[in-house]
Amino acid sequence: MKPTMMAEELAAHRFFQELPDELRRRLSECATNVVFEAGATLCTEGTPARSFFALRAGRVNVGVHVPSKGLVVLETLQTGDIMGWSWVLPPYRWHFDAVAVEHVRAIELHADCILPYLGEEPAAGFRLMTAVATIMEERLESARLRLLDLFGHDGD
Amino acid sequence: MRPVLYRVASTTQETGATVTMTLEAEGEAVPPIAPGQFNMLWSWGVGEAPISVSATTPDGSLIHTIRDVGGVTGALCAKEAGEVVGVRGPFGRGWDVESARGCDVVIVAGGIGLAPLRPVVHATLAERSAFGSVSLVVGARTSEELLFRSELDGWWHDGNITVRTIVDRGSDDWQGNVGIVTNELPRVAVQPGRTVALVCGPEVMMRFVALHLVDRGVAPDRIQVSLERNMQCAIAHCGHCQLAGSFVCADGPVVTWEAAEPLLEVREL
Repeated sequence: MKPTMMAEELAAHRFFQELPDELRRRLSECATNVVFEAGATLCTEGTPARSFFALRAGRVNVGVHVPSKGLVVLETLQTGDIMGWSWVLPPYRWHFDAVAVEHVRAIELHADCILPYLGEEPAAGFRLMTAVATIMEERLESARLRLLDLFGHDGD
Repeated sequence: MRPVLYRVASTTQETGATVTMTLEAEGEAVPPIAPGQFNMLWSWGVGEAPISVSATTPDGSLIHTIRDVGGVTGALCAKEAGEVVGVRGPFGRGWDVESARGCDVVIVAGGIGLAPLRPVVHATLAERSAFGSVSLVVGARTSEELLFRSELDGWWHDGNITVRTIVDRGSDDWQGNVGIVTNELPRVAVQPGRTVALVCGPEVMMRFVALHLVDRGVAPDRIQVSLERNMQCAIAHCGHCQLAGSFVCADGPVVTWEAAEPLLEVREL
């Protein structure tokens, strides 16, 4: 796919909409379209995290593999969500498993292409990291709210 | 204000701790109840508790959905068909469904909060063309604790309502989404100027939902929330449910976010 077409696809995804055009264009050069069928694994805990995914359609369960139980789902990600930030921070390994619940279409963005550019262009790096941090904050807020057990007898 | 007698006509076990009860007047009946209002239900020898109506009926029978969270609600949930309870009511201000006519409607319910909102869903279904898009977001602790699960599919497929469900904790038999109610909100289409939101659930949940909607441009006076406080007399006399200058039993339980936010910001309240 031509980078210009990919840049348009990125622009259609809510995560990238607030990013500057030039950054989006550079990211498009590091991106490929990918498809996962139901049950396919997007990432496995402990393996190298060399990319992240912008979900365009479908749902992905993020969880932990528990012996005798299989995947214990912690959170479901959906169309418009970003899956993965382990590519940003050492030791660059996935901390959880992610499995497609149904047919998933996504854009995969490759860290070995993105990180050198961000090192050369700190302003662009700051913009992208701010966007990633916003996702982290949303997930942390979600996790903290669930710790409150709002729908338990004490929370309701 | 004395309770009048109602006989339990039927009960349905909705979840492990939640029961829906249909009550029929033994003689004198209470006036018609509107969505969002509540009755005080009395279990003789135990006490009374405020319970929202979970469906309205043309024949005047009352339908309440009760979660067993203590002595009175436990006694009410244990009632069987044929037993008698006392009823005082209806009390409070309910949902302003009229203000949603011609608008897109966003309904967000958490846990037992779906019970007071069910009559709103029924109202939109009854006159579906009177409303724009209708989105229902339902959160629960687990899939087993999702209320009215058998009705949710029908609301979506037959009623042209977009229903999104999400649970805090997944399980082997749950193929739906896992997460918190607010995770679903970015996927709900919102046109700020023509959206009315109705929200019921734990106060923290309502706060985060309302703030999300305000961030997306929905005016605070177009967001309705149902407050819960210790309501005892239900006629604004005893003061147990007082919230600053308001009595939740009479001035609420349904108020706009514009009215609720300044009160809920005060931690001592």
